[in-house]
Amino acid sequence: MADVILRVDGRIVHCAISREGARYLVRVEGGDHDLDLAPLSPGLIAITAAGRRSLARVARLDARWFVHVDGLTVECEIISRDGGQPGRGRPSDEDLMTPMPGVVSRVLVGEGDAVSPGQPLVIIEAMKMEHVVRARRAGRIRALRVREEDQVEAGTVVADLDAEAQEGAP
Amino acid sequence: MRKVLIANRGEVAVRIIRACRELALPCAAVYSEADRDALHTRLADQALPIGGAPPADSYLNIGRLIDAARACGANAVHPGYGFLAESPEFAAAAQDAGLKFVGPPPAVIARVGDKIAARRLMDRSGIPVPPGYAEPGATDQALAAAAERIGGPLLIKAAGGGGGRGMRFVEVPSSILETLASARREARAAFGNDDLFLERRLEQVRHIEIQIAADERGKICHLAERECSVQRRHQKLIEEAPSPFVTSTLRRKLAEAALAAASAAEYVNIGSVEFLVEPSGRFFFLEINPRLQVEHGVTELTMGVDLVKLQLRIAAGEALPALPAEARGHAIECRIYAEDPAHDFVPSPGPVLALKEPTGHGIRVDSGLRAGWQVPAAYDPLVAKVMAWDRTRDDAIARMGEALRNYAILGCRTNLGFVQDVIRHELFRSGETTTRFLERHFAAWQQHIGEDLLAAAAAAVLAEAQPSGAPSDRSDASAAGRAAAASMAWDPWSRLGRWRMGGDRG
Repeated sequence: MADVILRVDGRIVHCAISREGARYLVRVEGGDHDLDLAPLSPGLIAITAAGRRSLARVARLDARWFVHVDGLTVECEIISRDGGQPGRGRPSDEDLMTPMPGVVSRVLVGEGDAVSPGQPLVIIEAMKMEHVVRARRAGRIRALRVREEDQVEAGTVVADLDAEAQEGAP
Repeated sequence: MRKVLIANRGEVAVRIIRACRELALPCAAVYSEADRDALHTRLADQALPIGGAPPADSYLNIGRLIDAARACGANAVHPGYGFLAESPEFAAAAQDAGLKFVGPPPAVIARVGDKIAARRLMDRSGIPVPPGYAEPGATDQALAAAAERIGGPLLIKAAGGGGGRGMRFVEVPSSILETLASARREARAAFGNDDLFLERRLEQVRHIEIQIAADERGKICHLAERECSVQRRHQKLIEEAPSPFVTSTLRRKLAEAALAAASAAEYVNIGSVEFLVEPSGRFFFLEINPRLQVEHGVTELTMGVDLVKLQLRIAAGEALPALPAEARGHAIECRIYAEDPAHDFVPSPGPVLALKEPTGHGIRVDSGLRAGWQVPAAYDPLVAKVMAWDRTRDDAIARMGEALRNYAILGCRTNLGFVQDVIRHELFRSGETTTRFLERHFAAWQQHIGEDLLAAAAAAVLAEAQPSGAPSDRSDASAAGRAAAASMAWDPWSRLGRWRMGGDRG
């Protein structure tokens, strides 16, 4: 399961996607869509939906993705994703990225702090939305990479987290 | 003619390069610092730097352009459109430097460039002009008195303006004085000439222009009309030929008036005579554009004439060839701007991350874009023009729709979605457009993106970011990295492979 956030002319659209091989099930604004995707070359994907086929062109600029399909261009960001494959590690900073461009409104931890799963670390504000970056695992903050009032792009890593077994209670 | 310096940039410079190639004429481009990597800079036989990004330092700098022409051994200069194309000073400077200016002589450019003088000349020559008042050096009091006589609504125009620039609208004549003061200040700053004149604003008019061509031996002819009524902020957006409104009788009358206007101005080389046409068919002279028009392509497609080559041939002293008398089929052009139609058409320069331009029978794209380039903020946001030709207007509209649908410019915002909606509108399809069509029917336009498309876009991004369901890896940003990731998606060594490829990007 993965969530993709589309930004369409200032409007934010959440899509929840699950996939099985080439088949993508997308839930967007309450509607379910069943799509078949065939990558043709980098940046070019054939999409078949309800018996109709179209070509999608995809390009990326840092954390912003641009997709052209059926004559229109949509700008997107991927805010959370989950590979879901057991046994494969994820980059340690993966969980600690900002989901969207914005301003750091609060930093809730300090360097050297031990954190527990789910603990809020940093709050980002953008387009009147607030997003909390949380620790997903236990660990210790090795370094903070943002400060309050910082302007951040989507995909900015807010902190480096050393994964470690939870030490004795503070 | 030995070599042509192209004193312009972007898609028109690319268009002129193509014509030079077909004539086996060497050509040199010029570029500002913002255009170091532009398409025209890369395509010309050679390219000369002429200064900084601001137009005044480069494309509007007569001295630097003349120096560039001398430095590369050119003996002709093509001004394109915009920038110095309508500057009598530039044409004269070129002439003085021994360069053939590909356009009318400086005196003709000056004669049609002063909109008060041009209007008076046409009036004297029996060509109908809109109700108005045009006296050189008219005072505010004289203009205000004239406004009362003519009645509103009125347009205040600048003698040095044209093409919709330096124009002010006044609803009631009694309120004109304060508007005159600010219009004068603007005109002085923009054109170095604060002479103003008045014309009644005509409601429900079309903008129709006649293409003319005249050689240096006094032969003159026309190449029928273009319909240019679909405009935003007094700037053309969609043009076509022939006009769906013009009958053969009206065409003959417009062409006669255009030829009379060109003769009165002692016109040489190609140009356009613009008219405003009322629903009754009554028409009025608007202005003469002494240059290639942005929308010249629709005439080329329907008349089978290469207007840029014709310009070069006339400038080289050749006689006008026999030109076709009638249009064949129908051609439409949509101008593609890097601008945001949902927010008052504000320019939106930006990167071109990926580019796919439409091709195919009856489709032509004149473009200054290339993938990996950055649309500069310093210049006009026109980046390309899409043209579609077919036997009938309906077929040409359908072909245009498909061409626009297949035009992908990723990374900077464009009006591609907007023009698709415009050509779908029933008033456009029935050919019933006036100059106020867009302001009346598209004022609050927003891009509508359906749920199906959103779902497809989201799935495509996910597929591209995480090929075949592999866990995400932020290092696969480059195309090479993505290709490697796609081919090795299930390979246990893929992580190692992608580390190597992608480096630490992102």
